[in-house]
Amino acid sequence: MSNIHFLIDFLLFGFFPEQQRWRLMIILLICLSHTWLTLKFARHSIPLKTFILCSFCLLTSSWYLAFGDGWLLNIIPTNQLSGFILNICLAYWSIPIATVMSVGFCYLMIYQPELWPTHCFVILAKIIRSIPLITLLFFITLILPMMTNIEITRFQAALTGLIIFLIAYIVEVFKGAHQAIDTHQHESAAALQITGIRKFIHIDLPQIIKNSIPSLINTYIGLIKDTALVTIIGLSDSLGNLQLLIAKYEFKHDFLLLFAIIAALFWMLCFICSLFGKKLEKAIVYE
Amino acid sequence: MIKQSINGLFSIIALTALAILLIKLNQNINHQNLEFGFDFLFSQSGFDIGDTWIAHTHDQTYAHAILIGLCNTFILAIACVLLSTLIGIFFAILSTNHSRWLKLLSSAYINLFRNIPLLVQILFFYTSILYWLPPIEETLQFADIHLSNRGLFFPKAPSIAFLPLLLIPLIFIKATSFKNRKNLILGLIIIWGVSLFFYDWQIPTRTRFSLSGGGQLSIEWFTLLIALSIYSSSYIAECIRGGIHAIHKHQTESAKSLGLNHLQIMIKVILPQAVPIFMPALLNQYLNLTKNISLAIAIGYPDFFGITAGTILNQSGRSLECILVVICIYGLINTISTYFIENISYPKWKNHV
Repeated sequence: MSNIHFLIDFLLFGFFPEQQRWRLMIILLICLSHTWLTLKFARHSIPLKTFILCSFCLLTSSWYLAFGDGWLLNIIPTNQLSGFILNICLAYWSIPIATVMSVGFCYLMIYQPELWPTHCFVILAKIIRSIPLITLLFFITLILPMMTNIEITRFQAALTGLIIFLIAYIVEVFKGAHQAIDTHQHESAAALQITGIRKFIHIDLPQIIKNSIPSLINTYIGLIKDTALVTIIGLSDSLGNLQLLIAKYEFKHDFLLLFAIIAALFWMLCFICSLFGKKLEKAIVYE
Repeated sequence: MIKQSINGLFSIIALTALAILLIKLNQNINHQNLEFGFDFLFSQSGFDIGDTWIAHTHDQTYAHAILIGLCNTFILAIACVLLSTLIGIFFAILSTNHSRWLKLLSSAYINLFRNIPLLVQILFFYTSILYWLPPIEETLQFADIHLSNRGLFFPKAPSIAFLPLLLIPLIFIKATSFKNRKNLILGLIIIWGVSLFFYDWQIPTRTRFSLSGGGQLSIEWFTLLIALSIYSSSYIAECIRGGIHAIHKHQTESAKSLGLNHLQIMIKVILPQAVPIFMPALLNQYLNLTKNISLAIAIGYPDFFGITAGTILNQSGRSLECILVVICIYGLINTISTYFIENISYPKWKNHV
């Protein structure tokens, strides 16, 4: 089996140029260090501002490493970012962005329920939750370019679709977690005259995050699995590469091995995510 | 004051944005020499769908094709719901067993299939079934049932023969006061079974390139049935396990003191009480399953999504209308079922115990 090296390589990195693979390794390191940073933050080892700044730097640098700028790093077209690394990148870029955005929408839903933007958002979230993810991806790849005259690459469409889909689900999780907060908390806040956005940031948000971690992690795992769907709109992620390999005659009989590799990779990623969730749950303690 | 100004500002911005988007959309649609409208749904479709329960030929309308797709989706959903519930209950009961190995087996099953994407599972089963099953020339044959990589061919009775089966749930629901209900149903089934011999059976016969006549279930249908059932059964097993754990321990102990064994305790005492606890989560899983059927487009099974957003979209070029139809129908299904999930009172089978 001299081919196995080639197969694993192709499933992992796809068409990414061979000389630039070190960039992907650094992206993987960035993902790991971001999870480590989150755990550190949950244990109160680093302050909030540092955490936000570091997260922002890590996200932008991973984006920069993946696509380059043509000056220091070569530009990589979005269709060359493929293989399992594409699944990881899609998950890594959509999860923090969607979580931060849904915190904002959560504020709107809890404190400004009568505003018209909130009504619009609630209706849109309901519609998005009722359709399968592929419908959303089809909508973004087919209809959105017609509406805006902007050329959207498939990668951008997939990332947008995943973020929108994730927001619709996370907001629901946050809403449930907010209902679980003890009423005494609101009464004490009212007694101390903490209201509005200060109350949301200092009293509601920490408890919402703490209450919602198990279901939040479930949503994240669901998203990691859903990144496999981008192969239907024509992106060559790990599953797309696998189908390319199977279509070739020489690898036709190796399909069991190929599927086993893909399944193991996804399983590992989900397992790491759930492990992270358990650690996070233990780490968050409010005295 | 601030709220009103935000509302006003938002409505102005949103309406302008919407207007710009719609104007652009209209321009683009006109540019392709098309007009927005749903009247194309009532023109001839021009394609045949091979793998359906009700035939669709090329001279029928697009709307008919969409209905056929919905029919396919629902029949597959019902089959998957039944199979996945059975497997789910099996593994949930297994996980409450005292034997450590059986517990390990159950948790391994649940964790393995929950953490692998559904699309990977569907493609895996599809490729392996295509690879392992023999081609049509050398089918696996048992009596008149043929199995090959084109599907399962079996003798078929006319559909009128299956109408009496509808009576059974009717008797089950209506005749609750009737004492010998079981015997009645058994007798009816036997009479129905004997009556089957008097119908004309269509038997699959070998033609030059394929088998014709009789019923056929395609490989795609089987693949989806297996993959979706296994995937959702792992979720369902987890739901049911949660419900079982919520039942108080005293119930098990009292049942044990009455001399029931493990399986009897589970089926006759614990599960009926756990039903109202796990039912909402279970129904949500069924809803997810129905949405997941849209992945059939990956292997080319003509379900509702595959026909509407795949075939019809490509054939007529009306992408906006097709996607809107898909969104509306999924929204309708979702709204109706969530209404039922939230509002029905779940059966509490206390008399059963």
